[in-house]
Amino acid sequence: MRRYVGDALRRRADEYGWDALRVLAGMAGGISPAGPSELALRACRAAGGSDEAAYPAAAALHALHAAIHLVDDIIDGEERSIVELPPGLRANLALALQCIAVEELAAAPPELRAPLMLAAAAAGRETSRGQELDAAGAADEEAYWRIVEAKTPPLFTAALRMGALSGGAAAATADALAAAGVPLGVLVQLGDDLGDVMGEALHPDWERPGDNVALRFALEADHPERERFHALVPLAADPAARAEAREILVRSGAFSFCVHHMRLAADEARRTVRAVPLLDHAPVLELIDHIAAPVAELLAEVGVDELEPALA
Amino acid sequence: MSRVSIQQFRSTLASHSDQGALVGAYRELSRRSGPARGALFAGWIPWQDPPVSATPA
Repeated sequence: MRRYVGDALRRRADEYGWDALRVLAGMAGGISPAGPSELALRACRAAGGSDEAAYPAAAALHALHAAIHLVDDIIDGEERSIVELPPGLRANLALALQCIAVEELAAAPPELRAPLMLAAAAAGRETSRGQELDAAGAADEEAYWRIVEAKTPPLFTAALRMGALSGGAAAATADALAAAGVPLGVLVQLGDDLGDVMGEALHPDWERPGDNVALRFALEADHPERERFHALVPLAADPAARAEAREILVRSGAFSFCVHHMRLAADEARRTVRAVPLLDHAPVLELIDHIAAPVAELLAEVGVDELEPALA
Repeated sequence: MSRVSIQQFRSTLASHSDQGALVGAYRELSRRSGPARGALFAGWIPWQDPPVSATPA
């Protein structure tokens, strides 16, 4: 039986009677289908390593991922909080989680400790920079894409690199596999954008529409209901206005635009993985398929040709 | 990665399409995907996913 990656947090919660950490360990859900811990485990298997070999990396990524989520929610002003703490203490908890990530990596074989720690540190640093860019806002579409590539992929890149190294891959192989983390991060971010505006609940993105590519599309693209959409966005707190705006958003082609780019990102991730000399590509490819499944289902429902006329 | 921009994409779409089919498909898939965020992509949000490869002890 595999060890549970969240035990790194649970063990410390028990040791110190640290309730917030325990809540986080329980709610984080450990290895999720799209999470960096699972990605690291699969990269390790692809390189020929055991799940046990990947454990320090997977546990560290779990803690780092939790830290990034805590900070992301604070920055976004999300009302749903993972832990019942004021923002300052959630930031404090995120700091502890980063330290726990380092502690977990100390359990890796001596020759892997430094490269794994450096990969995790780079992921945290780059994500932090991406968050700052994101907070400044995207002035135009080009800036939006720059921010997306800066903010989300570093954790995925690190997960692939750390997993491959844990599985015994050479540094060059791990780097090549890590490159798939960029389109994978873009894929997940676009899914997030879409989910944030298409969900029933009011998401903070409605207040910063330029930072969500679906909203940006409906605001900028030349479509018959653009003026109405502009009028509705400031009223998004009203569920009826939001529902009308969502319908326009889909009719404008914003939804198709996201799905189109998600499909391209998934394809690029698959191509990148296949080009890496691995013992077995399947574990990583399966995960990409899982992440891309909603796109595939949607395309199957409506037909790719109809969705992407001149672009196919 | 070279990307099709918003304006380029819209101009190819404009000559086409009934996006209503997409709205319908989205709603159906959202319904099947469960209530979290009421969205098709709810399953992508790690906080709301059950672990698939490991179970907390």
